[in-house]
Amino acid sequence: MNDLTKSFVIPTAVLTIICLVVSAALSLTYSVANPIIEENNRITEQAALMEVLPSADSFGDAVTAGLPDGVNAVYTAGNGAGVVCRVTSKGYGGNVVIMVGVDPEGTICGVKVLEQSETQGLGSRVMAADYTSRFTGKTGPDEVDSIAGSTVSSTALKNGIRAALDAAKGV
Amino acid sequence: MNQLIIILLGAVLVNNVVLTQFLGICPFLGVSKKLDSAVGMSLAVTFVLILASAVTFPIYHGLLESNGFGYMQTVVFILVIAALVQLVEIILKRYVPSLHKSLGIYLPLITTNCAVLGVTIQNIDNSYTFVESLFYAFGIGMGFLLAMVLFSGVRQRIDSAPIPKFFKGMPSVLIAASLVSLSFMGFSGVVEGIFG
Amino acid sequence: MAEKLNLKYLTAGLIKENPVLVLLLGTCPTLAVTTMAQNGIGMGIAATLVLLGSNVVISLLSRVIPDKVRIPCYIVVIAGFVTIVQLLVKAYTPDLDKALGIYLPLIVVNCIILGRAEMFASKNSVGNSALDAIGMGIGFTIALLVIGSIREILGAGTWFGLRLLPEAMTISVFSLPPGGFMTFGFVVAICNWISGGKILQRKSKCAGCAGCAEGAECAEGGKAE
Repeated sequence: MNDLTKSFVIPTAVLTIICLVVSAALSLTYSVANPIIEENNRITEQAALMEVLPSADSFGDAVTAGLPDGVNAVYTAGNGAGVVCRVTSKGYGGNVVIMVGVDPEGTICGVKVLEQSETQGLGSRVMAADYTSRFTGKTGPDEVDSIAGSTVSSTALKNGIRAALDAAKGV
Repeated sequence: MNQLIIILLGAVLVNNVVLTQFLGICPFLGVSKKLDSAVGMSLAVTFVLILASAVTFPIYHGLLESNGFGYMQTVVFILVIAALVQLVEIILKRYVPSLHKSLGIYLPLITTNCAVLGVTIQNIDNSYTFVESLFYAFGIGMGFLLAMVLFSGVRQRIDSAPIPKFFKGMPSVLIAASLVSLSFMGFSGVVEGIFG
Repeated sequence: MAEKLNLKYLTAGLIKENPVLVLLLGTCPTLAVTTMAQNGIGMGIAATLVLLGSNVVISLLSRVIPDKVRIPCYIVVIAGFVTIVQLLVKAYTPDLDKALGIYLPLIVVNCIILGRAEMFASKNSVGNSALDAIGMGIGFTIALLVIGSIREILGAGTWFGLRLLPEAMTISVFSLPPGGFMTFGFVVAICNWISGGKILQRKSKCAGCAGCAEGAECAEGGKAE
């Protein structure tokens, strides 16, 4: 019995106690850090919203329910300047998250890529500002040519824009 | 299906785990000297990769995320991996002792292999589905195998070549690795255009 | 076990036993985050904090932890500190979090940390373990800074964001993976040269069974888990 205690119970107990203490420490850190992280995210989000729909003054709360596939949220501008849609599509190296500003006539006002992990030098060119800015003023993603050699990334971007336009129509 | 093939080929060639993503460098540099240990290690790593991906996926989505414990990811994942490696070692020792003898030394090293923890985290970050995670893990394992086998051949050549004194050992190995990595850069763009 | 604080533990990690350039540990983050010098420093500081925390705690608990569950306990402690650092970085320096990406949580499996825990902290006093951690951490950061600076200056022409070379004169391969390997190789060679070959002669120090590049040879030498 003593042997069993020594070789099994005590090690397990020590490991469990350490796990519990570590978990408690992590919970504590999380409760301190998380509000700051969320605030950072909110600020970045607001900046991105204003960037893709410059004529807007403020944005209402995001609508996240009843949206087409891939669309995470739709923000409506306070002054009727249009909507901004946050869309996630599957790219080459993972998710591509974009914000698309659409005015009431269905014209694209701006496209900003928030997250991407496409191939450096190829797919990443699709995600860069000087390419995404070509979509401003268009009414459909196919009006802009894809970049040769980055089909998957281009498709991801265009699918995302298409989904955003669909969602904007529904508002 | 297309998506799965893209993930697979991408993991093996374009985003090769060792030569492009810099994961699993430690065993890559340490174990690639002899061909059979290189192959053995790679197969063991592939096995652990697939198993770890399969186990951590439900744990994260079912247990951690839904209960708001996402931040416990690192701790839980590494414990799961350590436990899996122990388990694999015990099973091998009992049922396939010959394999355990040849691989035995390398198995504990798999726990600290950046590739295993890295892939499990990437599965979550890239929002892969369960099947996509397994394909990705398999692809990474195959990429590891490819890199190890190629490199062990390179190292055998280096060993018999005259090298300046201060480059002997790790420096020459690293520079050889840089050349192999350079050659793999030729693959970028292959997969992107594969489906027209 | 009231050992006296021995400063040699602090200086060892800086040069003579530099974890990256001499012991050849922690190679994954060294290659991955050194595209820019400031990322190298960020990673170095993060790793040093984790190393300090884990060395101190493990040294404190070394009497209490039974040998059987030694490694899992160390892993839990290290992972705990890594997560704490990760959360703090995400909150207070989100740009660094984006730059380091997946390599921040991968500090958990950084051979340096588990290796020092096993080889040093479990056998020495708290004070000396702390010194060892700081020394190793600073050594790690210095190595990252050197390699990162070379890669940033040659590959992007900047240093900490300040432009030093015109863009036309940059050799972009240095910002890419092959350049990483090459720079690392040359820096280690230069260190060998500076030490007059003394590093080469010394038998590779076993940095713990979980140690990476030398781990296989070490274990083959008979030091099994």
